[in-house]
Formats: sequence, structure tokens, C-alpha cells
Amino acid sequence: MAFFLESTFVGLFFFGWDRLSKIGHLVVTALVALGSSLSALWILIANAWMQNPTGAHFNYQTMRMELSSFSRVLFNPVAQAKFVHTVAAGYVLGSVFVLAISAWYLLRGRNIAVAKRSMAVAASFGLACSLSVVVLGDESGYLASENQKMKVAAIEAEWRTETPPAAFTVFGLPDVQARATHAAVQVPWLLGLIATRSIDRPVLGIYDLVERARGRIASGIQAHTALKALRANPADAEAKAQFVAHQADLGYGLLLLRYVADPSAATPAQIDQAAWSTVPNVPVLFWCFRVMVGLGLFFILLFAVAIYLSTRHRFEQSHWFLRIALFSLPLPWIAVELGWIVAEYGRQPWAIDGVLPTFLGVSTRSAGNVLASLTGFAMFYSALAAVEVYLMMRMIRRGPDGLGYWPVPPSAAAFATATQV
Amino acid sequence: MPDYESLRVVWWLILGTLLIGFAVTDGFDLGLGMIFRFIGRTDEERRALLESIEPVWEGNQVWFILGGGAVFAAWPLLYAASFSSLYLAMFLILIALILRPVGFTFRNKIPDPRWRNFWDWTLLIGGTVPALLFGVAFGNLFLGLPFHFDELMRPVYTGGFLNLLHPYALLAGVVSLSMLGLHGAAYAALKVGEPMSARAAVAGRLAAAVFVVAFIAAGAWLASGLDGQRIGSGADPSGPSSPLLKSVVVSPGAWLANYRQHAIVWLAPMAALLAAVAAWVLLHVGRPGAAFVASSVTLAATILTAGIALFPFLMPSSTHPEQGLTVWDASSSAKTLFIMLVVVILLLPIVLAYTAWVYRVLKGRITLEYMRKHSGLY
Repeated sequence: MAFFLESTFVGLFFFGWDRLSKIGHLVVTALVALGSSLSALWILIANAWMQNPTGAHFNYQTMRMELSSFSRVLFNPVAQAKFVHTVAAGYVLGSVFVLAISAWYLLRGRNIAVAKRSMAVAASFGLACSLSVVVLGDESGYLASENQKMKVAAIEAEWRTETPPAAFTVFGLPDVQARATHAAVQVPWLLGLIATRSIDRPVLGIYDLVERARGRIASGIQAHTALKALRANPADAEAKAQFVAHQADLGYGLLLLRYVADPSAATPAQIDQAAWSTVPNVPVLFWCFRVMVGLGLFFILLFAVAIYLSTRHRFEQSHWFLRIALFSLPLPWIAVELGWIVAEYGRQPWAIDGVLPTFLGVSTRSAGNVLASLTGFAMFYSALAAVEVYLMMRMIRRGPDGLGYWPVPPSAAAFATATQV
Repeated sequence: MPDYESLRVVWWLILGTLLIGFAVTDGFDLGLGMIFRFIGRTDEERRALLESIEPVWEGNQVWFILGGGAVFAAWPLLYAASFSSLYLAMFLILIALILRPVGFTFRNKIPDPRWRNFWDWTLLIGGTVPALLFGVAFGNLFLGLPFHFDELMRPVYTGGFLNLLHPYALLAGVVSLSMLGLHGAAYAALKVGEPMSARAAVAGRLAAAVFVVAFIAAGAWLASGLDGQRIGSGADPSGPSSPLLKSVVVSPGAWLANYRQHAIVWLAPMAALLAAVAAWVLLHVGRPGAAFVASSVTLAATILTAGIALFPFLMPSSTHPEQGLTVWDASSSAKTLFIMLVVVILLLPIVLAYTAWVYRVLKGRITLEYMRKHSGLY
């Protein structure tokens, strides 16, 4: 429904300039924005359910998760934090883009008035958005420490539970083999404050969480055995009681299927393997998270300096800043992708946290099929991206005053003329 | 809350409605994509043709997204089995559909003729390939797809991509191509100025003729040669969604069982044929508006014809017929179906209202005169 709103009005947005009043066109523009924000909301509610599968239960008759509370899915706290964090990150990306292109115009000494105005708008909007990205990122971290303790421990490379409040590791070299972090530079108290918002609650370390997973795997084996009995004979009351008692841990029992065909016959070594498989890739998460946060803080600084220069009318004299702004162009994309890696790669080995292991979530298609489609899409999109960047550079070089190169509606041409100095 | 059986039937009807909505709206811009290079000879003529669909094709395509969303949410087993089985076909459809937005957006950015020709071809592929493959997919439903479920209820597909190109499926592809071609041509005849309008009418009549022949041939084949499926026993319309509990009988001509039982459903194929003939006549006498209505009826009635033949099957299996998916064993839980039904009842009228408003704002023919005066920034 949100896609409908966005897609129906985006056509009118482009083609309705001469057919609508100014107010009408503005309303259409607002509806496009509303539609795309709603799309983002629903996408992130779905994603948040994969991070924190609330409001659903497993039905052994149909072998799937079924909805038990729509409102709990809708008001999943993870979804609220993720929505604002992700949408604000998109706004920051847009702001840095405007800032960088405007800086390029100023460095070239052209389209000065438009560029300066764009920079002022991008800087103030961008500052507000980059602040909310960080605040809601913090909220995400807090919520993750509630329901995805393993992800937080891996991001922080915290192998052993520290005495609260835990220290934050600014720099370090996580070593997966040794299960330790070398050369760590730590800020006392900081992690405990961010993750638990307290000074007395511990942030559980990886070793403790693996122990916890081991317990859940033992319970999950019971659930899996009961499920098999129930599938064979739906009237088996004993199996049903056993399944109901252990169904919350079924996903942990399924983790064993990677190492042994029948979980109830698993050896302690295999259970140990499965328990340690709940730890995501620590060095990757550790570094992706730190670079993302560093970039987020850098954007706040960038926008703050831009606002300062804008109020002092000193953009043209500050070539050093314009160059920094221009070369910041790719950074928000990097930050956004790193955030995605932290959220999704950090959820591994789960497709749906605690419920469905990724290796069972894949389809039964052959690896060759998937490789072919992935390669196809990668090549196809790379080609499209090359064309897109070429066209965008062409447009940027031509600038707002170059739009008259091909026929434009008189109103748009007048706008382009009016905004030139 | 209505009972499970009614909810399932209602969601089968909603799925059909969304497919028809997709065919009637996105159908004309796919159809126009197939023919615009032939009925528009100069760059200006082609731009006028494209401009008649550019503001609306994106909204139209959401009917397709919504159809996919409805399958995902209301018929999750169908979603899993079909998307996984038709993996490479879906990949091709997606590539072709992705060519459309870039074609529209990139085409007019550079005036070089080679550049524009290139993107015109991508738009032609983007209109033709999905229209053909949608028909091929429908044809394969009547043949059954080679799939079954493993012990974790994951669908396992045991065929290849080329198996999908059975002659019957290709015939269904021709039905789909010709009916969407007719629809796109009727739209062009209605929405653009001369000389494109007159050429569109000729193309539309050709497509209508092809459609009538292909539709009758597909029906005759279904009645005489092709194996059809019927549920034998074990299907509980209010039971849990597990496709492992029933038996299925396979016999030639069984896809017409619903038509033998209820004479009234013959109205659907009759309407499809009569409307196609009417569209031919109306394009001939210069009534493109009425022809567009007629081609819309053709689309709706054709989809209905296929749906009635398959009912209650959604996706039959050729290798394990008893594991094929039906309306009774492939749906979401009753609770999910009910919540989504409420959402659809509340929101669909709003969507229809603002879509109608957008079309009203955009009313009028795109003539060459108009193109010379206004030409978008798109």
C-alpha cells in the first residue's frame, strides 16, 4: 500500500507540473515522501521481526511460525529504533550529497548563489539528521543488548564478562583462534553505560553466552525429538507436552543439523561446535561497527563546521573545507553499508534470530543456480551503475543553468533562470 | 471472524482481483512497450508514445508487487514453492522488469540516436519478456510443476528451466502476449495523437485476431489431450495448511471438471472471446475508448477462465500430485488472513480513489503538438 502511494504519485510529480496548481504539486511531492517513508517503515518492521521475532509462535502441524499478536509485531521496539536510525541515515546521505556537489560548484566558482543556499540547507538538515542517527543508533545498541546479547558481545569483542560497568574497547585486534582481543585500548565504564544504562548490570561476554547456548541446544534437542514424534503421530500426547515445554529452543536444536543428521545422537563435541557456531564473525563486526560510528561522528562535525561557515558567509574563502566536503561524497554510502553488515552479518548464524538457522533458511536450489543469478545481477547492476554515474556527472557538470540544453517546461526554465546569479 | 474456509476463498478471489488489476493497468504499458517501436517511426512519435505511459507505469506495476505481496502473506507455501521452482524464470522476469525504469529514465537524457535506440530496445524487451513469461508460467500450472516437499517442509524442485518451455506453456505465452498487445494498442489508440493512433488500431486488431485463435486452441488442448488433476480425498477446507494430507486423481481433461459441473462458469471464456471480437470491431470503427474497455474485459475474463479451471488448485505438482498446493492447504493462518482482509478492505478503496484522480489529472491525448509545447524533465 505504501508502494502504491509512492509509485502512483511519483509519475504525477514528474509530469504534473503544468497540470497541477503549485499547492497541488506540493501536496503530491509530500505524498511521494510519505509513501517512501511508509515503505521504509514496513520494510524495517519486517527486518526487526527477523532480529527480534516477537508476536509469533511455531505451529507443528504446518511446520512454520504463525502470527499470534499483530500489534506486537507492529510495535516491536527494535522496529521503531531501526526505522528512525535507517531513514535518518538516508537523509544524512542526501545531505552529504548536496553538500559535496555544492562544494564542487563553489570550488569551480560557478552557480555560487544556488550552491551556497544548498549548502546551508544541507548543513542544517544534515546536522539534525546525523544527530538523530547517532541517538537512535545508541537506542538500537541498547535494544540489541536486551535481545541480541551475542551481537553486542561480538561487536565489542568482549570474550569474558567484565565486572560492571564494562569498559569500551576503542581499538583492539580480536583474535578468533585465541578467543581474545590483543592490544586493546579501553575507555572504562563506557560500554556498561551505553549497553545497560546502568553501572551495576553486566554486559555478558561471549564465553558466558556460548554456555547459555549450550543449555538451549540441550533443550532444543528435546524439542526436535518431540516434533519428529508429533509429525509421525499427531495424537501423541506425551510428545506434545514435551514439545510445548521445549519449543522456544527448537531453533537451537536445529543448529545441530549442520553437524549431525539426528540431533538426539549428537556427541558433546558436536554440541560444542554448534554452541560456538552461535558466535558471529568478531573481527568483522568489531571493525565495521567502529568505522561506522567514526563516520557518523565525522558527519556531525562536517555539518557543524558547514553551519558555522554558512553563518559567517565564509564558504568561498574556505577551500580546505570545500575539498573535505567534496571528498566526503562516498563516505555516507560506506557508513550505510557497514551498518547493514553489523545488523545482518551480526545476526549470523540466524536468518530469524533464535528460530531459523541461515543454513536451513536457504532454498533447495543448487549452488550453481544461485551463483549464476548472483553473478548475473552483479554484472547487470554494475553496468547500470556505470551508466547512472556517467549520467549524473553529466548533469552535475551541466549544472542548474544547463538544464535548458533540451526542451523544458517554460515554468522550469524560468525557475532555472531565476536562480542564476 | 469469518470461518477459515470462507477466508481462504476470499483470499483466492483477492489474488485473482490483484492479477486482474495488474493485467488491466500494467498490462497496457507492457503492451505498449512491445509495439511502440513499430507504431512510432520517428523519435518524436516514440517520445509521445512513451510519454503516454511514463507518468503511470510505476504505479501500475505496484499491482504486480502487491500480487507478489499477497502471495507471500496469504499463500506462503505457494510463494516458497513457485519462487524457488521458477528461480531462473523469475530472474529473467526481474532483469526484464528492471530494464523498464532505467529505459524510461535514461532514454531522453542524451539526444544521440544510437543512445535512444539502445534504450528503446531495452524498453521493448522489458515489455515483451514479462508478458510472455507470465503466460508461460500460467501454462505450466496446467502441466504441473515438478516439485515436492522435504521433511522440513522446504519445497524441492526437480526440473530445469528448459522444461518450462513445453509447447502448451508456449501457447499460453502467446495468449498472454496477444492479449496484452491488444490492450497496449487500444490504450495507444486512445491516448496518443495521429499518426500513431491509427497504426495502433491496426496493431490492436492483429493482436485481437491472434488472441482469439490462441485462446480457442489452448482451451481445446485442455479439453482433449492434457492431464488434469482433481482432489480425491483428505482435503479439509478448514484444516491446517499442510499439503501432505490429501490424495489427488490425475486424468485427461480433468481441468474442465468445474465447467462440466457448473454451466454458468462458461460465461468467463465466452466473455473473453466476445470482448476480444468486440475490441477488434471497435478499433476498426474508430472507438478506441470502448475498445480499451473491451480489452480490459478480455484480460479479466481470461484470468478468470484459467482460475476457474484450476480451482481449488493453486500450483499442481507433476511428480508428486498429492503434494500439489490448493486453496485448502497452502494459506496463512486464519488470523493472518483476517487481519490482512481488514487492511485490504480499508485501504484498497483509498488506493483506487487516488489512482482515479491521478488518471483524471493526466487526461487528454498526447499529440505531437503537445509534445512540442511541453516536454518533461524526466
